[in-house]
Amino acid sequence: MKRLLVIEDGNEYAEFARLFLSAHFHIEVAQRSVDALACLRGGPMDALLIDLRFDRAQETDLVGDVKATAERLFGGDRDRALRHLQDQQGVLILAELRAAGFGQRAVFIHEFLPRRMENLRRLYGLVFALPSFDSAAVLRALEGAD
Amino acid sequence: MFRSEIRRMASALAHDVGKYVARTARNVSDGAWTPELVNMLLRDLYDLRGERALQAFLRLAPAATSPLAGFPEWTTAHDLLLELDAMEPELRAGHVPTLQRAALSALKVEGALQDLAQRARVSAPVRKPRGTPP
Repeated sequence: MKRLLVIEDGNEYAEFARLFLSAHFHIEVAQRSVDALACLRGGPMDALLIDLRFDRAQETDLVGDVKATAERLFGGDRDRALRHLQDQQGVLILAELRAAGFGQRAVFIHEFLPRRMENLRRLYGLVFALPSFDSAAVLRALEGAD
Repeated sequence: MFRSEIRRMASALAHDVGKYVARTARNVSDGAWTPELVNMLLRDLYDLRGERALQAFLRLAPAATSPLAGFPEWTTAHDLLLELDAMEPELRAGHVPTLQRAALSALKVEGALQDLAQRARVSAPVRKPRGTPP
């Protein structure tokens, strides 16, 4: 059976995947970038389902440095920097996975602007996004049948 | 308030409320409500990432202070979430017609919040928060 890695800071994606996708995929779950990398290094994985916003994650679990981000992008405003890192965490995790050599199809459930989507594909290859938890559409995207 | 903050708030509503409220509703075909689906719908509506969907909505876009509350899509989503909030006893009892009605309303909430996010991307705030001096 194919294997799917769900990466999120809660359990909503995993619950969705177990209920609607488990006939097609064995489901693995990671809540931090480091756990996702360990999972990918531990055995073959066919696809990734990634949450975008990690607003419930501990700051220490986030990819990205809040202080450096605040200075670089937000004139030293630490709160805005933290929100920015949380809001974009799924993409930051994907960047880490790609940098480590993992190129599996990655699916977000989020409505990216077309220009952003083009850029994500240019940077990270097989990236797909769907606006809602539509299990049939998610399955097509994960399996490459879209 | 920065326009980018308003866009961020609308995007957070679509992501944290709209998408999750419809998580089960979007996948129930022909009214086949298994216990797993009923429980997941109940979590979508009343334990959405740790709070009720209506609470999450009002936390992210309070009626009295959020510039998003001036948009018609905000009102649509708000009124539907009020209805859904009141349906809890019937949904917990597994009343199928109410489950069907709730699923339909949840999809409408998702649509309204996607429309709101889209509108926020292309327009400025339409009003000052209530209580703001002229």
